[in-house]
Parts: sequence; C-alpha cells; structure tokens
Amino acid sequence: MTAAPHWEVLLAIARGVDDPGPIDRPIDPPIDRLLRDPGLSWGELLEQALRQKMLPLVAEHVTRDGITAPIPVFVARHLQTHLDVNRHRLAMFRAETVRVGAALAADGIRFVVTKGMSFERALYPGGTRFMNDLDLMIAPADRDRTRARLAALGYREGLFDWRTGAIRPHSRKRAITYQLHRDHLPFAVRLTGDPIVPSIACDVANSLTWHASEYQVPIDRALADTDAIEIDGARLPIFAPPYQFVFTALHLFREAWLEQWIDWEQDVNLIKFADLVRLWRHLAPRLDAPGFGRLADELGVAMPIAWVFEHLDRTLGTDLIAATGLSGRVPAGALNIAAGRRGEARTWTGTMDDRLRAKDRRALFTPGEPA
Amino acid sequence: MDDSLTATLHRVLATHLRYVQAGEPIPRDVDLRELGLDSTAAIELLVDLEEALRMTIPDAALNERTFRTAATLEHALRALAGVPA
Repeated sequence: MTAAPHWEVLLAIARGVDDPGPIDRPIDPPIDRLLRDPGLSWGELLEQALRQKMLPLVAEHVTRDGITAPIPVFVARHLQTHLDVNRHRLAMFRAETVRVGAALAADGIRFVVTKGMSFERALYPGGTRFMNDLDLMIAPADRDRTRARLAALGYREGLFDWRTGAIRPHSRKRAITYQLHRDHLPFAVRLTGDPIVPSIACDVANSLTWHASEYQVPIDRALADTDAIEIDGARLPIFAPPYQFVFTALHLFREAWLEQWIDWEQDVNLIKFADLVRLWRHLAPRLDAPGFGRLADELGVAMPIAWVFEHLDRTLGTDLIAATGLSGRVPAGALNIAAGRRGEARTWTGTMDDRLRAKDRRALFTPGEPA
Repeated sequence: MDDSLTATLHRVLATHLRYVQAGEPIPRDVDLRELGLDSTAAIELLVDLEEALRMTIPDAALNERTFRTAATLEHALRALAGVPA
C-alpha cells in the first residue's frame, strides 16, 4: 500500500533522498515530484511536519531554488519565516553551547555535547534541525558541580512558561523524581531577553539510558572515548562515533519503549529515525558495521539497539540489522512491546510507521493500566 | 505528633503497596519493593506523605535507604519531624 502523499514527502525528506548513501532501497522520486502530487494535502503535511519535529527541514526543501511544484504562496511565506526563526534559534543555541562548554571545561568537568547540537551541522546543513534544548552528558560524579555551574551561568531549575514568559519551578513530584531517578539533572532554563527565543533550556544527562533500566552503558568508558566538533570557532567534545551512534539509538529506544512519553507528547517521532539514518551514513567511513554490532553485544545493549534497527529498516528501508549482524536479538513479538510506568509489559498494534503517523498514539496501545 | 505520624504513615503506605491487602498489617522490616513499591510508586508515596504530614522531605533524605522498609521510612520521618522513636 502506498502512503499518503504528505507522508511520502516526510519519509523522503527523513531519508535524505537528495544525499543518497548506503541505503538499500531504490531512491525515491525527488521531493519536487512528490510535491506535485495532486492529492497532496498541505494541511496534513504541515501538521505532520510539526508533530515529527521536521517543519524547518520541510521548509528548507520546499523553499529551495529549483522547486517547481506549485506551493501555495501563503504556505511558502510561512515556511520561510519558520526556517529563518529556526536558524536564529540554532545560532543562539550554538553560542550558548560554547558558553556552557567553556564554563564546564574551566571547572575541569568532563562532558560531551549530545543529540541535536552534536550533529546538526553535519546532518542537517542549512539550519534545518529543530531543537528544544542543549543536551550534554556528564559523569554521575560531576552532578553537583555541573548543577552549581549552571546556576552560576543563570540557569534556573524549572520549565519555561510561554504564557507568562517566566520560569516555573518544577512541581514537587517532578523534583522528587529528579532526586530519586538520578539519570538527569533537573531540567534548567535561562531567560535570554531575545524576543524570538526568550529562553534556552539545558538538559544534562549522566546515563545513556535511564534510571533502573536493565540496559546500562558504562558512562566513564563512553566519556573516555570522545571526538570533537567545531561550533562557532570553538572545539567541543562529542562521543566518538561508536558511542555517538549507541547513544542516538538508545535515546530513540527510550522514547519509543517507555510508554510514559505519550502523556508528555514526547513519544518517538520521525526526526529521531532521520537522525539515525543520516548519522549512520555520515559515520559510515569511520564506523565498522560488524564491529558496531559486536560492541552492542559487549555492552549488553544488543536487544534495544536491534529493536531500533528492526524498526528503522522497516520504516526507512535501511539494512542495518544485516550490516551489523544483530539479527535475532529481538525476541519474537517484542517489536510491539513497550514498558508501562511500573515496568509492566504493554503492547501496541501496527507498525512503527503506523505509530509515527498516528495522531492518537494512545489508541494504538492495548487497554490496561493507564500510563 | 508521634502516634499520628505512625498512623498516617501506615495509612498512606498501605495505598502504595500492591502486595499488601487492605487492612493487613505492614511488616516493618520487609523490603518495601517486595511489598510492591516500585520506583514510580515510591515517588507517589513521597508526594502523598509530604502532603499528609505537611512536611517537605529534604533532598538528602530522598534516597533508597530511606525507603528500604517501613521501619527505615518511619525512622527518617521521625527524625525530620523531631519526634523521638
């Protein structure tokens, strides 16, 4: 069955069809041809692009020179504005990453830049990666020092309330959760004074998975194997390729495996799969695929990594399971399993593609204790 | 406060222990995890206890040692409330 035209556009953009790499699938029609489909619903495309955190990416493709598809003018103008705002936000995030990184380095705190900021320049040229916050990884031993340094840099623990423009402290329940589930520092936010990007949030993790997860990667080992990227002329540490890919895959697993994210509207989305397929292509010259599979086995994370690859292969047509030799690591039936709030097994129906497209993810989960 | 503290603790605790039937006494020295207190329930228990006892448990006391058994939890709450055992 062919997907709806708007979804075909998003899948093609996620794969990066104009930058074909080692994806074992015929190259899709160019974006321009997909956009010419008379059945394309711009409303659906924009809504799903928002849901999948891909609107800047869609905007960049749609407003490119050479696109001949008849884009409604009001849509094109809106997308161009959105892209400009995203580029402005990214510029502020880059500068802030440099500032925070310099302060942590001055304190002798080992850290790496992770997630979007660690690869947006390489994987999403043109300022097209949507980002919510700056993401860093530290060792558990550096939690207190990092927390203090962020406070000294103007960060306050809480959430930005866009209705009031103020930082709202975490609820007591959330504060207790941070204290007992010590995989992240309390989410912290700083007001910027910028009218377009009034706040910047910093999310600091000290685990590649989550509290009480049965899958734990030794953080000291991961932090001992680092690379560097250049941001605004500064060199900042990131994970070396194997751990960068391990973490990116495990992060996707976390968002898809733990049912609780649905309630916070942070369930897995297509951009996370786009990150993986693009990162795989980008790291291919430096990442030995069978060696990566062996590393996943050695770290005891073969099951979650294979779970992600199985879904990625089915959704975007990659062949990572075969390439990494991780076939057979996911038990029968486990591709449609998730973990409820109390660790109980929950099941969901359909494919990952169905889940990504669903506007009511909760409806895919079998009835049971609400998450 | 001491009698009410014990009574409140047991009343609140009972609602979060999945393997303890209503009206059944809560063993003092059994690991609360064995009685059905998972990490999510522990957070909810704390929120409920703070509300019921009208106190804020400091970060230093928010750890697994405090929640190991009903006895360790009661001991920690008494210390915080300044009520001798």
